[in-house]
Parts: sequence; C-alpha cells; structure tokens
Amino acid sequence: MTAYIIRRLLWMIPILIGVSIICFALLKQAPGDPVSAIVASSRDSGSQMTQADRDNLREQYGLNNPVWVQYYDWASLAIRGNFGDSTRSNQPVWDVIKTRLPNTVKLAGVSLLFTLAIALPLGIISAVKQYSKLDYFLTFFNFVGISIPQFWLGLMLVYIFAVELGWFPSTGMQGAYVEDGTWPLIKDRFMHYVLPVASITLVGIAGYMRFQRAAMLEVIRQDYIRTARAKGLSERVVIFKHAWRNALIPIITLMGYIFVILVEGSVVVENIFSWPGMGQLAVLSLNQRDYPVIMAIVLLSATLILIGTLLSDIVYAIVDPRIRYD
Amino acid sequence: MTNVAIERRVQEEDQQVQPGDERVGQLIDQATRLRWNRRQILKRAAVLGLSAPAISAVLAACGGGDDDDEPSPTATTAAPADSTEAPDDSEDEEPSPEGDATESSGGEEPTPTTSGGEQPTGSGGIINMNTTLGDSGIANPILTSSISLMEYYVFNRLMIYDDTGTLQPELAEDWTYSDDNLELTISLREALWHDGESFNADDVIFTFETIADENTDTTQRSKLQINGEFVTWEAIDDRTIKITTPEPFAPFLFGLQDIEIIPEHVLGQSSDINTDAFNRAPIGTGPYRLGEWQSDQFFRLEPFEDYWGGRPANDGITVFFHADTEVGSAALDSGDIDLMFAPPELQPRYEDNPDVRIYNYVYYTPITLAFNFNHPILKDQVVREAIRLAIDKVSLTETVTRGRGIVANNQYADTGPLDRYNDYDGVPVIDFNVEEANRMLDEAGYTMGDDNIRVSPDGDKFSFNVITYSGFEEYINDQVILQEMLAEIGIELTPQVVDYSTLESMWADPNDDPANRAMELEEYPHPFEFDPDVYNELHSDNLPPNGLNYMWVADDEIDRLINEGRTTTDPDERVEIYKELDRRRHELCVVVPLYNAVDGWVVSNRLQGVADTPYFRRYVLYGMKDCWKEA
Repeated sequence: MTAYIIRRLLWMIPILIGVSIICFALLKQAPGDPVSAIVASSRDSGSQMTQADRDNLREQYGLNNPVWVQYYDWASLAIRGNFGDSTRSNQPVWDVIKTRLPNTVKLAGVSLLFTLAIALPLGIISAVKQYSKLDYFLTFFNFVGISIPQFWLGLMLVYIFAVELGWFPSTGMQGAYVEDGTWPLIKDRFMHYVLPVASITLVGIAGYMRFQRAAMLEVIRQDYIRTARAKGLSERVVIFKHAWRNALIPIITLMGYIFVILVEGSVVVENIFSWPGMGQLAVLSLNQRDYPVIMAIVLLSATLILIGTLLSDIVYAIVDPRIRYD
Repeated sequence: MTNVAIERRVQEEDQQVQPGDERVGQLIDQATRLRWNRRQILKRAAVLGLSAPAISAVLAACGGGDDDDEPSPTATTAAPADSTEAPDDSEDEEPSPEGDATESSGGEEPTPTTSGGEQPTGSGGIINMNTTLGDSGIANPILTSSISLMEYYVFNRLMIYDDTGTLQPELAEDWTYSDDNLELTISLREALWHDGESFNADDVIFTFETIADENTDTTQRSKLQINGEFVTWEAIDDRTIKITTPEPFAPFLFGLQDIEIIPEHVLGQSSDINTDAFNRAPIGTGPYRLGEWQSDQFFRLEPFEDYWGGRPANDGITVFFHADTEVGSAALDSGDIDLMFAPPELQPRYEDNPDVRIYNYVYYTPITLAFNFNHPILKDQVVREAIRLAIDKVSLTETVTRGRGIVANNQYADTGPLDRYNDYDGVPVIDFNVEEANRMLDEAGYTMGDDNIRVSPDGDKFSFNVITYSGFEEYINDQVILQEMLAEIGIELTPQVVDYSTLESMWADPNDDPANRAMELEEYPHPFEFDPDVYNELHSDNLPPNGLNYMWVADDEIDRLINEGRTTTDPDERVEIYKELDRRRHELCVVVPLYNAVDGWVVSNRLQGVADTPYFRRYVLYGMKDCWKEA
C-alpha cells in the first residue's frame, strides 16, 4: 500500500508539469495579453495609451520574450513556490489567492454540508420506497433540479427574495453598514449566505440524490440484505447498518471532485452574487489575461484533483476489503 | 423605446411638442445647446428624417431664443492660453459643495429642460454605487490598474474637466502660459492631505518625478511627454510650479489634468512605490478619505471635513464591486445601490420605472466604419465615397439603437465635450443614394460580376471583411445591416467579431494583411475625452509599428492640421483648425461616421441634488460630492 501511494505521488510530478505546459500554451494561444486588457480599460476611461506605453508594459511583464523563455522563467520560479505577481493587482499571486480562498471554502463547505445532509437521506428513502408516490415526487424534483441551469436559479432567487420581497441582500458576502455587536454581525453574515447557499444546494441535491438512490437500489437487492432480513433484523437496522454503509462506497468516488469544489467554488454562483471567491477570481483573471493567477489556479485545481482521487482510492481500499492495490 | 430623460423634460416643459418621436426631443436638446439657427435645425431635421409637424414643433420649442443670452459653444474652452481663470466664462462662482449642484451646464444653458435653474439643497445620506471593473487592490492613482473611482474621490488633480468640458481648478488655483506658450506657471491652492499635513509644490514635483521614474509601474508617462521627451518642471516656491515645454503643445493640459497628485511626505521614503502599503491605505487631498475597504467586496469613503472645497454634502460614498451590470441591476432594484451605469440594452427595463431617472449622454466619439488605407481596393477614394453613399444611416441608427442613437456626420460626437470642434456648416450631409453610388463605381471601371459582386480591373473581387470587437450586440447588428446595404452596390461584406485584445494585437502588427482588416466597425480614430487631438491614431508619424495609426491613413494635409492643432494654444484658433480637419476628413472619406451611441446612468430617486448634466459620464466622477440622500 505504501509503495502504491509513493508511486502515485511521484506520478503527480510529470502530470503537473504536463498540465502546466498545456495550460501555458493554451493561454498564449488565446488572443491578447495582460497589456491589451489594460489598454481596453484605459480606453474605456477616456484616456489613451501610446504605443510607447504599451511597449514598456510588455517589456516589464516579459511578454516580448519567446514563449519557451517565458515558460522557463515562470517554471523556474514556480518550482520554488513563487508564482509571480498578478498583472491585475501587482500583488504576489498567493496573496491574491489567500484573500479569496477562505471565502470560497466557507460558501462551498456550507453548501456541501446542506447538500449531503439533504440529498443522501432522500436518496435512501427514494430507493427503499421505490415506486411509491414519494419516490415519484422526489424523482420529479430530481429531474427539475438537474434541468435547471444554476445561473437561472440564482437569478430567480435574487429576483424573488432580494428584489421583490427584500428579505435577503442581493449581492456580496457582508454588508457595508453593520451595527456594532456580535448578534448583528452574525445576522448580517447569515443573511448573505442564504441565497448563494440555496442556489448551490438546490441544484446539488438533485445529482447526489440520484446517485445515492441508484447505489442503494443495487445494494438492497443483494443476497446479504435478504439474509439480514431473514435473520429477523429490524428494517431500520437492515437499511442503515447493512445497506447504507455499502451504498456509501460509490459516493466515496466523488470525494476527489468534492475537494475541487471546495477550493474552486462555483464560478456561476460566485459571479451572480458577487461573492469574492476563487470562482470569481478565475473569471476576472481570464478576462484580464492575468497569466500568473490563471496558471496558479489551474495548477492548484490539478493538484487537488490528483490528491482527491488518490485519497478516494485509498479510502476505497480501506472500506472495501475486496479492493487491493499491489 | 425613448430617451426618457429628454422625453420627460419635453413633456414637462412643452406640452405642444409630441414626445412620441424621441428624435424631436434630442434635436431640441441639441439645437438649443448648440444655439443652432433655423437653417441648421432644418438641415439636421432633414438628416433625421423628421416629418413636417415634428420639424415645426422643434422650431417652436427652440423658437427665437437662439440668438442671445448664452455662451457660444466655443466659449467654454478646453484649451490652454485663455483658460487661466478656467471657470470664468461659464460660471461665476466656485463650485460650492453645500448642495449647490449647478456647476454643470444644467443651470446655465436655456435648454427646454430646466424649470428655473434653482436646485434644491440638502445634505446627508451615504451614496451607494458600484463598479464592474474589479478590485485591483491598488489605490495609488498613478499606478497601472489603480481603482478608477478612488482616483477621483480620494485624490485631486491640478485641474479637471467638468461635465461641460470646462477645465476647473482643483489643486491649481490658476495657471498661465507665457506669451510664447512654452512656460506654464501654475499657482497652487492651500489644501490639506487627509492626514493633516499641508499640500505644497513638493508634492507635485514628487508626483512628476515618480511617474518619470522607470521603476514605477505606471502608464502616465506619456502625459508628461511631448513627442516622447519629458517636459521639464521646477518648483518656484511652495505654492508655484513652472512647467517648460519644448514647443507649444495644446493637448498637454488634457494629460496634466489626468494626473492625480500623491503625497511626498508619505511616499517620499518608500522603498518600492509599486508595492507600498499606501496601495491599501491611500492618503489624498480629495473630498473623501478611505474608511473601510473589504477586498473584492466594497470600499467605504467618508467625507473629508477639511476638504479645501468644503465638506461634501453627503455623509459618504460606498462603492461595491459587482461582477457585471446584471448584478448591479438587481442591487439597484433592491435598493442596495443608488445609481449605476446602464448600457443601452439595460435601459428599456428602467424606462417606465417611476423610482428612477435615466441620464443619457452620447459617447464622445461616434461609431464609425473605418477603411484600411493599405487595402488595394479601399485605398481608392471613389470606392470609399460610394460606400458612404450606399449606407442609409438614418435607418441603421433607428434600427440598431432602437431610436436612441443620433445620426453622425462629423468627426466627434454631436453633443458633449468635443462637439465644438465639429464643422456642422462645412461638412455636407450625405444623402443616402444607392443609384449614385453604383454609378460612381461603374464609372471607375469596377464592373458587376455575374454573382452580383463587383470586380476591379485587376480582377480583385469586392469582397471585404468588416471586423469589430466583441461585447456590444449593437456592433454586431451594425455589421449585419451594413452587409445588406452594401450588397446593393455589389460589395460582399463578411462580418467578423474578435475580442478587443485580439484586435489590439492585429493593430500593432505592421505586417498584418490588409485583407484581414479591410474595414473596422468601431470608434476610429479615438480622440481624447476632452481634447480633439487624434495624433496617435491618424498622423502618419504613427503608422505601425511606431504607433497606432492602424488604418494606415497617411495624408499630408491631415498631418499638417493635426500638427497645427497640437501646437496652437488659442482656443478659438484651435476650433477653426479642427473644423478644417473635419472637412478634410470628410473630403478624403477617412471613415464613415455612422451614429452617436447613447449611454446612460440609472439613478434612483432617493439620490437628490443631481445636476441636470449633459454628460453624466463625467458628472459621476466630478459632481457626486454635491448630491445627498434623504434620510
């Protein structure tokens, strides 16, 4: 097992190098560069940048060098953990990410918690009571949930609950005018979480519930469940002790994915609610061609996916004794 | 459907004018502002295709009042020399922030829009607004990517163009050019930095030196340069600085008024100005000081009690970072913000909303169809003129802008800061005439092929692409309509949309094949917002790769006029030079001006004291300190 883990970890190195090369090449292939993004916004504000201004900036960002030189310069710093400075804000890339990462982890974490807490039990009920009215209702809800685009749901929630009813704020993570004291602060944060969490959760439930239902259906048809029932165990014990534990195994394969969600966040929801997290940063950086930040985000995701899948493979082996890595 | 702000005014003021046709309101507005005589009104009405009753309504609304009482369009001047007492010819008092918001043109020009000029006064309230440009985390205004609104609210410049295009003093009390127009002497006012230190000439010199320093990450250098060389500056005493230029240079003041002054006593010892803590904790001389700044969420500005111009009327401004205008729109609807920029496509949903008003203005330079002068066919003036004749601008404008745009015929926008440089008399209005266009092309030997596409005598097909940049649905619709219109004269047009960055990289490439960019639909050539200079994009010195004359226009007469316009500092003479340039541009058919795009700001009725401004785009940077909100 240890040898297996070490082998997997070593494999990550060439994979990450490959990812960085592909990403870098794609970015360079995309038209424009950080300077042209700055030119566009300066033109927008009624000013003009002369050719000399542009040339200076390109020199400063090292954009005049051949692509492979630019990659080498980037990689030789990145390997030492220095991902350079954001061209959009002049700050070190890690500082930019550091201010946003916690915001995304909070939003995604809370949403994930709600999603799993609601989706898994519903999936089990749906499976146990297959073809009941409740099952049909939940299945219908499922298809609705899967079909609704997240941006539409988010906009509707904003329109109904923020604009029309005025119950919740429409954007942001915190209010600009919060009274002093702990209680108003908690209330303010809570109110800002409701709509974004709801947009992620409502859509998320559908997928996980479907997944759990399918896994559960397969398990309760197994012989060992019939055996458990034959032993005279109560239905409760059969379902939760024998069936559910086995039906959770497929859910573990989603772990790698969950890891990434926690860090990358929801690009759509973060943009609709102006939530200052990683998803919003990714869009902003792409629009501004902020190469150093984009590279860092892509590598971060790639690393997390690799670690996430590794972890889920390990846990898989632990919970399912039939699986062996040698 | 209509330009609500104008229509509302028309309805209020003059019931006999049918407000049903929004062009009527626009024309009245324009004619009054420009003091057009009867003949000019008739001419413009004809361009707009107004009906006879509509024309008489316009004449009635503008009737008689256009020969007296108000400053001529050339009186409010943007050029140096005579601008020593900048506000003198449009204003008889310093802008007073005590709620008197009339320093914009609303109070001074007898448009049919104001009901007596007196603005109610008031104070208090925190104004909430947004920006969609993102939080760069940089408050130092001279650095690349600094946050634009902070540049105006937290800092001051020496002087600043107001919303009428008039240069107003800020940290400079006044400024005079020497007789030879080579020395600019600026006397500075007494002002305090937000930390209580006094502002003086050292701060100005320090700002200039910092910008000139190669290690500073700034795009401001060219503002202190003439033909690539820095001007020289020195402090005469604590309150006076002198700038010496190698030659008279009119656009210099535009550059100068775009430079925010930073504090020497705070930044003088900085080891690296690009990353200094000042970026997060700015100290300026502006009307507001930074209160709280939550990264990527919002920043709160508090009134600076000791502001040299008096404390702002409101109790602060909070700016939220929103991802886009849709997010802003929801925030406006739910009362979280009080005003926002509204692109044309967003405006219809606010037009019948009684809780808001829309402040429309035209973008300062028209949307144009520009020709690549390196293109083997389009370099023939006959072809360009035929294309100009074949475009029905009136119906294009009506369709694409849904009645909001104003047909363009001149080099700059028809209202706003640059319109005094348009020669409305000298540049003839081209009547849409397909037959004539076809006749011209036939005569020039461009024969129609079997596929209804013309070919040149060399056998080249009249098949061109027209390129525009993405982000504006309007531009894409323009392309399609132009495609149809030009098919009538045997031209096959292929619309192409690329993002701005792509276009920018094509411009800079001196080897770019003219066939890749035969025509461009955008705003070429861009002047400065408050200065008519088009040296960067139209002078033959600036052909790529040396500069940004990316449509490859090289004409001695244009070069001469641009040079003259840059080196002439007398504002009236300058107007004449640019009028001549307008005529020359028309004669050469450098571009086809299509229409003036109308942008706007949606402002909640909660916000009070907003002046009736012709140019909200500037007002929002300049006049917010005079607005307030009822409790």
